[in-house]
Amino acid sequence: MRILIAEDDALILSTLEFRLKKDGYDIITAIDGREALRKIEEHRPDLIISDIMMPYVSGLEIIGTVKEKYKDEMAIIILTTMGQEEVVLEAFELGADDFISKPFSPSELSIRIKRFALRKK
Amino acid sequence: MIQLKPLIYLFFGTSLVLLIYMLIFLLIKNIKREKYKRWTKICNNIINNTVYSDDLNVKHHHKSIENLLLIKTFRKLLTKKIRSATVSFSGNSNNSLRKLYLKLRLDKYVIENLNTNNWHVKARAIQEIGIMKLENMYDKVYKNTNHRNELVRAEAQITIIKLVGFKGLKFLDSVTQPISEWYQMILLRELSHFDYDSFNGVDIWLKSKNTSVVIFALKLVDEYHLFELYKEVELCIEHPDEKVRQQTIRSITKIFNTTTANLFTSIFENETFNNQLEIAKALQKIGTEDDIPFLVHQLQTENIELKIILTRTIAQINPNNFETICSELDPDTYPMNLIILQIKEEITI
Repeated sequence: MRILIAEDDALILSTLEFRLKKDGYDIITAIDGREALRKIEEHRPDLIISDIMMPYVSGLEIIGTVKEKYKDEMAIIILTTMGQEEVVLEAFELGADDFISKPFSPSELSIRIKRFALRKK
Repeated sequence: MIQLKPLIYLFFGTSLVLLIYMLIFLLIKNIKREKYKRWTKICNNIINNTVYSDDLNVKHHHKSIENLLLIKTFRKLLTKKIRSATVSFSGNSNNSLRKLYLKLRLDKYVIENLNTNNWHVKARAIQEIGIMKLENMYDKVYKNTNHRNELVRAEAQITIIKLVGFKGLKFLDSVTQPISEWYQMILLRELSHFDYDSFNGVDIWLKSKNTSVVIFALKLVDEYHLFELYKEVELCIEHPDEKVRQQTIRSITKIFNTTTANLFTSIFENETFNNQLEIAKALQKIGTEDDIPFLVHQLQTENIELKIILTRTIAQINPNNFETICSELDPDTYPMNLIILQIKEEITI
């Protein structure tokens, strides 16, 4: 399964990449929303893990664009900060498939990704 | 006649010196950048191994770590990254990162920073203690909860809550410096991470000489529905500070009883404009049909904003009878004709 991680915090991006590569996934990373949209177009990932607050293009805009263009071809998990309930609701209205709040447990994220991988099969 | 030769030599000489200086500068900058990249890679590697495999054996992966930790810049970089990762990850990863922090003895340096006179270094050190949950430093942090610098003071108050939860509110007994509205919000947010535990002292804080403490205590009453403190809160409605009275109106609305609406109507006319608006809004939640004659009477005000809110309150108290009440509200003259039209639309929606 190919996963794109869009996150402007380089440390979180690097740790997620490290873990998910160890879990055996094909990982593509993007440090901002604009790069994410370009790489989504280029690599057509099966799953997108995207932060909400990012430079240039926000996570919400990514959801909107992806769901309009690729419908259910790609699943999206959003990373939010605690207390952003309204943003989460907006993300679900736009078509996000799941969300996880920071601070999050990497093991929990890993389990959620496995669930998407099983669904994909 | 001007001698040209020396001037040419001087020009080329200066240019050469400048060129050499620029080259050396760029070279040093490049070396520093490369070193920073290498260090970043090492730090990320240490954190990745800690987060994902609970592997705290840093010396095994990076033999030079002890020497690197003696370099202040590297230590600052690693501490910054561990702090950032601790904030982002929860569960086992969070615990492992804190263990790593202690294993590398980074807490030794946080004490140094805490004792500095440089306020922003001090504030950051306090923040670090909270993030890494260094409970043994409670006393050192507590001393700063009434610091004259706002940032240091605020970080100390937040950290105390992070360390011991509701018990940390003890600092409100002695704080004389103001707590800004923003930091009050942050303190409430920090408390929300803990399971509610009954806490003593709110009745004392409601009588504090520090008005920001009184406002914060009122917010605690509001947030945790402290019904048992109704009488103490009621006394704050006579406080000389307008903002305290405003927060009292908000908080008492959350723990109201059958006498609260009467209390509001009795103080309305002597209140400031802002507090009159607040009372009108509060009556939307707790008002009854008995309050409608009072509200209709207050519509004689010239202020349109207050007229709108009062009319909205009347409509919300009795939406089914609003049409009938409208006949008493001067429905054919400006601005009541427009206000009634707007409120009717709101009720329909």
